[in-house]
Amino acid sequence: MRVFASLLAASLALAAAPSPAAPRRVASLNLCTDELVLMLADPGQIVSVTHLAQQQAETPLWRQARRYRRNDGSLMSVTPLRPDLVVTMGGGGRDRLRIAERLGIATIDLPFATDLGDVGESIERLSIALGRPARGAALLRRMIALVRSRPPADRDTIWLGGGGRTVAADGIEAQWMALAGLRQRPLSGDRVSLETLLARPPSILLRSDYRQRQYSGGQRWLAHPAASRLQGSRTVATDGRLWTCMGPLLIAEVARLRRQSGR
Amino acid sequence: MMLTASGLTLPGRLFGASIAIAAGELVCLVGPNGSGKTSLLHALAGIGGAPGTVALEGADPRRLGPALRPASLTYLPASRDIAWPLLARDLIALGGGGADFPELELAPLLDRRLDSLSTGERSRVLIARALAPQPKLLLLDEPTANLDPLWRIRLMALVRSELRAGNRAALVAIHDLDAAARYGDRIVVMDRGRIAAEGLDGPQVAQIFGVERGDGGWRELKPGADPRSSP
Amino acid sequence: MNGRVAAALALALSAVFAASVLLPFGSLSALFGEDRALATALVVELRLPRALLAFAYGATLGASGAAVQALFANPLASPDLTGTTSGAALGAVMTVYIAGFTAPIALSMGSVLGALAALTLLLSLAGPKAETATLLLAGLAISALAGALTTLALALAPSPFAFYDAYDWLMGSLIDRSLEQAAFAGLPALLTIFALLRLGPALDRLALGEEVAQSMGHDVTRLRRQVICLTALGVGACVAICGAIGFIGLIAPIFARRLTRGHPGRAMAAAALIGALLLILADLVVRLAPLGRTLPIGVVTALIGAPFFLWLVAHMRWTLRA
Repeated sequence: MRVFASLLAASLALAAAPSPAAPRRVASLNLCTDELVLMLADPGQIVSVTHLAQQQAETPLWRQARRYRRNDGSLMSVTPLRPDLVVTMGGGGRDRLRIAERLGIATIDLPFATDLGDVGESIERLSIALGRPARGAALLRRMIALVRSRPPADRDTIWLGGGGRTVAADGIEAQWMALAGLRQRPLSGDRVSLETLLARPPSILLRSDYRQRQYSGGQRWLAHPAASRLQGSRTVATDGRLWTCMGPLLIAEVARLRRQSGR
Repeated sequence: MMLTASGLTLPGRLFGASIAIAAGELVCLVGPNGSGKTSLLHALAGIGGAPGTVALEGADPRRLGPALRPASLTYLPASRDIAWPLLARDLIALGGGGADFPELELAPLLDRRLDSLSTGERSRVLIARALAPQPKLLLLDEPTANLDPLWRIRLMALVRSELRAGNRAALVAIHDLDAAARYGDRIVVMDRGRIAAEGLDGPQVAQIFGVERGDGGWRELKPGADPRSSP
Repeated sequence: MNGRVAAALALALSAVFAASVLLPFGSLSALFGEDRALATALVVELRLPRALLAFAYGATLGASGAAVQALFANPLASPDLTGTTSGAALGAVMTVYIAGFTAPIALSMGSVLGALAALTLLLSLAGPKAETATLLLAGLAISALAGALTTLALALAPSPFAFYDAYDWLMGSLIDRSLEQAAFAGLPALLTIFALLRLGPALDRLALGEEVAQSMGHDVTRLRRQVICLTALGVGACVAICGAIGFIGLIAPIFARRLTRGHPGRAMAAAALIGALLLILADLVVRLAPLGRTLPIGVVTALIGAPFFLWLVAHMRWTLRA
């Protein structure tokens, strides 16, 4: 399997990676890179993460994140902290990499993961840049173990978030679900209608609890009377925060989902 | 002739019109609505790029740039709308001229905003803009509209004296036939985009306007009546 | 605008520019003590481009706003109300996210073409002598269409970040722009402003009416074309780097005309200075406001501009009645 192969390749690369001088003042400018940095770096290496990482509603690592100074995602806000490595993702019109280069600050720009191989690659690159290849290798081993031991993905599942949001059957979310034996049903568009859920209920309804208590249009959708009448599906709740970044935090979640469905 | 123009054409509105004006002459341009009076003024002023030849003291004024144009000719449109709340003195200055005209009694108006003036006062300011450069040729479209009878008389008297003083000429489009007769050295009648006649006495004039002269003024022309016979 | 006022404006502008570079001062001086080279680099590579962009973009909006208002003989014609900035954003987004040309020059060209398309469409819809209602409706239609298409393009774009970048495109951002980017926006902006200033006398004469201006020897069609092309160039170049920022192009010329006794063409210089001043001030609010979150700069300019706009409408109505 392609994913497996690329994970394996990343693992081998890490095993062979030399340990460069580890950066000691790491700043991360994106929630998803925050999570990776918090998982891979030593606490003493980190100086700043984004304010999003410090919010309980956004990531399970929030308590850990609160130990560090928060930034607003801009290079300008972290420069006074004199970082020696800045981790970025996305950024549109901002020219952060070029400016950081001129400021003499090393950068690593990670792409948004579109498949499990990307997750492995990001773990590899970041752990090398942090001088912690061993930790990266450990995470990758867990991912490889998950891939190796995956059950057949034969449970018809629909991932459901606020506002009827769902995921693509060929996307990275579906790949993580497949590792738990859940097969995301191919649907047209990125939303599932209540009609579909009522007329052809999936055997498993994977419901995200992201910001469940907060008022939003999405939550109102979920509170529709018809939504509570869904029979024929087994509803399994999942921690919605993990599905924002689709990173290695899902390893534990996949293991839990397997246990829940008795696999 | 100070001004000679020929072959002036604007599609649909002016068909090869020609006109000649001598220095010192005040020519009144009359004609029914849509006869092309404004179009002729436009063509002479270089508005709308009409083909045809124009020679003012031998040179084509339409070739002159903004620096030299005001000394050659100025144009006063019939519309008195100005989009911006300029001061009267600034508006006059935009015309590029320096002369002032005490006859127009503009002194109390100069530092007031245009939109605070009455229609008549605004008219006088706009006229001053056209007169101030003291151009060789004045092209005025309905200059007496919006003016009280007193100011009409004064204005035309001022134009006249300006023409005489500098050996200049003016072509004035005017609606009122009596006024035209009173002020103009010459009257040019237009009809449907062409110069149709000189003076108001010819037989075609009655056909063009649909009115005839009677005692005490003009009256409606009866269909079929011979305009040459006396009433 | 007399000399004293010009000097006062220039002084105010220098002061806020300096403030923009020096504030917040505390963190800067602390850093200066610890690592002088980094502190200097912070000022040169991060704060300076931001201040320069605010200056250039604000000045462009002011000058081109005044020029477009002079052209349409209407105090409400401005780059944002006429859909120019929205069109530029659409052009930029289409070029980068849909067509996939990410080189800075391609981005700027896409933005300029978008602005040009919007202005040309406005002219053909409303005509050069449009009444206010027609002009505003046409501009509204163009802005709405361009805004909707931009959001659509961002939603459909292959890049996963496109939708998050939407805020920056539609509401503007000056954050983390480099000196190169400042040059990419600033040089066309300067060119536009200087070229527009030279059209000042002609635009003033346009106040007498299009026909009178022609009779005075001005080629109004050519003037119209020049103003539109220059506005598209300046606004397009700035939107490519900073997204669409509104209201500056509407308000700055209005203040400027008060200083020039109503002359619309002469007002371009003052409008440029005032526009730059307003945008730098708006950016200072964005950076110094203790809100815990970053306000998009377009929100700040709207908060300043919209009440002013309301006052303007009420005032126009009141003076007409009086």
